[in-house]
Amino acid sequence: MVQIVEHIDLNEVYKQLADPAAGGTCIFVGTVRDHSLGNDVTKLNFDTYDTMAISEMEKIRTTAIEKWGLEKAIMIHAVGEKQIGDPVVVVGVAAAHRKEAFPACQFLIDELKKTVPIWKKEFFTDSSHWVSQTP
Amino acid sequence: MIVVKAFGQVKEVLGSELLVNKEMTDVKSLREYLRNEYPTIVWSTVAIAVNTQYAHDPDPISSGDEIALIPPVSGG
Repeated sequence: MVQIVEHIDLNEVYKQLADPAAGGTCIFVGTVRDHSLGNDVTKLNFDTYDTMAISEMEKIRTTAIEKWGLEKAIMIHAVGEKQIGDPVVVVGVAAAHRKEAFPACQFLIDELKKTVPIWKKEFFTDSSHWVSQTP
Repeated sequence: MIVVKAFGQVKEVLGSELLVNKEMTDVKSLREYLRNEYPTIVWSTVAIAVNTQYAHDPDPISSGDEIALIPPVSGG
């Protein structure tokens, strides 16, 4: 499953990943941090190119499922304004063993940050800017 | 005429949709047009997508294609 949503429901993600053939479930949740490069962050806003973002996430998901033989894989990204602590991205996998689950989960988030057309605007107390490089 | 979608920092300069009233045959010709018309944007960092796929300079553009400008992504 890949989705762009207004609000991420983490409990629902965990439920969706449940699979009787899976012995290991690994989930990464990205949340809004209150600081960036020494500045206080007040909120984030995400712009997305929905149709292409879905298409790019599907490619990444399919690659991960084939490479690690996953039972399930999920990628969800939020859109719009997000406050400190809000979940903005969640990727998760269900695999037979942790040996596949951990690297597959890391692959999903690392590749998402490289190619999926989603843009983050950081708001500070007195300014804002589009993030152009993801650490 | 082609319609070009813009996102992120490029959208703040061009608006969400840009109408190009000129014949474009490939990605390279569109890129050159944009460079001339909007010199304040750092076009070397902006990818161009055709029909939701990342495209390269030699790739053709036809009327009816969905074209989008993709500045450096920063999801997650």
